[in-house]
Amino acid sequence: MPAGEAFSTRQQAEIARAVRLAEKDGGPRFSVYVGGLGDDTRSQAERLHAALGADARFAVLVAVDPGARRLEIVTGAEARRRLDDRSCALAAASMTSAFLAGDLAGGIVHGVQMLADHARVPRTLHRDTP
Amino acid sequence: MNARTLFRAAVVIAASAAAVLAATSPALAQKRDDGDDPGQQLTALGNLLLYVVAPLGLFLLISLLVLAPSIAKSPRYRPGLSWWAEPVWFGGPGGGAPAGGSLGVGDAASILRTVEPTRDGGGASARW
Repeated sequence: MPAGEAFSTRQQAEIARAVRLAEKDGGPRFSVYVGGLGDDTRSQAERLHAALGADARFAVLVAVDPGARRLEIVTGAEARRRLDDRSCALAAASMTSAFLAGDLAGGIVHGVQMLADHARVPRTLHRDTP
Repeated sequence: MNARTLFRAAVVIAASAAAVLAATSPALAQKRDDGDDPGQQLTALGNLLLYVVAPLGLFLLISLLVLAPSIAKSPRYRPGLSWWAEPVWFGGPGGGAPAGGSLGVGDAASILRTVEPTRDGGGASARW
């Protein structure tokens, strides 16, 4: 395969927008990595997650290795309280079905949106607003 | 392919050719009809242009029109093929806007070497 960019400019903008919207309204920090994860994909994804630094506890990392056809979602200790593993598995299933159809960018965008929906704490009347 | 099959194939070819040739007998007639105007004969070059160059040209033109969009587009991901692109990290370390900067292979490797993996988190794994 020839060397090139993973996504077109438009696809990049769509993913960046999905990440930005997911972080709005007090959502956890989102981060999307697309690239090689080596042999131990889970441990590499956890390292990438830890590399987010001080934010890592509140962060959700979506790591996609298209070559190895692996998807890893890593949630920090605090983010996990809002985004449980079942929701992550649900989003992962949705994403992999899109990847299987060859739609890498669309699967990522939709998956991030799903994760954000699960992680978002709905604003409730009388608690958030007097 | 045995002799019987070959024989049958030869019979079919001969029969169909004979039918066509029989139908062309008026065209091969030596006598001209009244008002018959066969016109000028094509030269060898004209023949070549009309029956070889023009069809080939059309073939190439149509093939090009069909293939052009996929040639112009950059390669896209297909499951099962190897991955070719540089790693990309949206909302990666360093803060700022989640621009999706391209990440050098060296950067990723150095990050992965120096950092202890997150162990107290959760998440999910999947493959496709």
